[in-house]
Amino acid sequence: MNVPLFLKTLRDHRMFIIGGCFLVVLFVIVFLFAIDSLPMEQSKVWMNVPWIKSLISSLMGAEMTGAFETNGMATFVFTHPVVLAVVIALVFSIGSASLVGEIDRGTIDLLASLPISRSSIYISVSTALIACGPVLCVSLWGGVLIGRWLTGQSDIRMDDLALVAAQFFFVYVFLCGMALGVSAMCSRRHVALAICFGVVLYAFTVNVLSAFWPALEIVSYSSFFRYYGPLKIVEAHAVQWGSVLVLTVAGAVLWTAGLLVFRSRDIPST
Amino acid sequence: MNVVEIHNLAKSYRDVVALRDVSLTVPAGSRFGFLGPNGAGKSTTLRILIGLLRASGGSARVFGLDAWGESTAIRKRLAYLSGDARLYGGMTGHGLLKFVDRARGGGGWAEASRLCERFELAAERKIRSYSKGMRQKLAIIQALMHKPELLILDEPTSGLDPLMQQALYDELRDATADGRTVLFSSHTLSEVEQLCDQVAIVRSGRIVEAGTTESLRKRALRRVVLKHRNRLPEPFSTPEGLTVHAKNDGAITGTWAGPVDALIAWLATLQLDDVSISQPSLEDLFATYYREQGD
Repeated sequence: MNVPLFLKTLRDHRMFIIGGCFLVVLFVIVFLFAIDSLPMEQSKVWMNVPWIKSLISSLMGAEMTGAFETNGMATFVFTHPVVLAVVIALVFSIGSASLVGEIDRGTIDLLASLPISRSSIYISVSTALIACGPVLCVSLWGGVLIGRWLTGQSDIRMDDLALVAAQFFFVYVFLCGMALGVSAMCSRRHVALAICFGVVLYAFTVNVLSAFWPALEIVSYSSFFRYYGPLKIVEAHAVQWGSVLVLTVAGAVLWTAGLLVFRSRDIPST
Repeated sequence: MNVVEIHNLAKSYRDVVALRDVSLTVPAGSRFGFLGPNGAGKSTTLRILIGLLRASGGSARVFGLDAWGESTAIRKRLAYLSGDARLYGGMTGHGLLKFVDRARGGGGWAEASRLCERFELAAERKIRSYSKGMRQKLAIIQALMHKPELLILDEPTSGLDPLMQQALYDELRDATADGRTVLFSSHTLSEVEQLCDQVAIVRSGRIVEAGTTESLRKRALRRVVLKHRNRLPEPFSTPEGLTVHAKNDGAITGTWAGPVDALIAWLATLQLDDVSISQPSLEDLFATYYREQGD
């Protein structure tokens, strides 16, 4: 790994990383305030609406029945579309800016003229992107901690949510693997972004539709959301190691494919 | 000893042939001009040499090492400047030079400071606020700052004013005086004539001429445009050294190969309204080479 390039990548994206973490913390706190002010009876009425129930279950990885209390609602923040959108945007933005973005802008000519091997470029950028993961996960968990303190909701179990945050990190790892793999294979940044967002849209759609249409159950295994069920973790008080393995292997395969392509591809001039 | 050795190099992109059967050698310590019009294959050749592109055929070796398989080792000893240098707009000039210095293992900062003064660059500003000329100066400084054994410069003077061009030429002459090698691409004949001692001319992915600049100069090619006072007599005979490219009414455009005094002696026999003798354009030069090679 090339340390100056690793540091440069972090420095280039520092405002985006800090901004993303701040946004996540802010959203989580607001969300907990919203839960606090919501009458529990009203929430239960909503949750009995079949399509809302199915939608929430598809996102949470399990049906919210017995777990439907403040802790369960706090768990929902780990799979809330706003949080996912911020994290996905951050990963794809940094991942695509660092490889295909360099090619697209033409700055790769400078980088590739330095005595840094292509593998080292790829690994340095990947390490910088992965290093942002724990910061994001801790921000997410920390946001709940601050919100819990501000709202006085002492029944939120932070130890369970720490496990959810840990599993969330592996979703992040998968997203990094995909973003870097696709980025290494493309020559235009907008194409790489379109592919990555297309995969997320597919995964989200399949995951949600499978909750309404059981025939899609088998297809839902191709969605990475299938391997991230925060409610299952809270109920079992344990990380779902099988899902962690699937996410890690899938991310590693995509990352390795990207490395192999990046090492051997032509780098065109812009 | 040759720093660069290229044999039968070819590069294709799907159906497009960018290079075909290119062979050339760059001796150590030379200032080697790589001359050709835009799209001739100069940049493709240079990008193969630094390992950005993989050749479709033939071989390219730098310092005796394979340009693709051992490119990291090669890049420790060379610096490359692309034609339209794109730099990190969010960095300051100093920031970029520091990054390059660290990535190269340090030791180039004193030289970078000297070059910033030499090229009158305000390196503390953000690069995105730079003009094209300033960006080019910064790109040149980052390429020169580590005193590499081989400098590969792809049209480095684009965007530089004449004073800065001269400053760059001086730096490159100093580099070769130290025993380092310069491989310099350009589409301007006068620039290569002024700076380089060796030259290769490339067109449509092929080398059409290679040798010393002196041998090129000895061909004494000159572009000649003359306007006869009256319509040209028929038949109108021209001396042996003159190749006529265009002729209408009283005007003739052509290239002259040979001693200029013979041309002047012939011109003196004509009744002329106007005459100009200048360096040939690249196209004139290529026309001459192709005619000679029967291509």
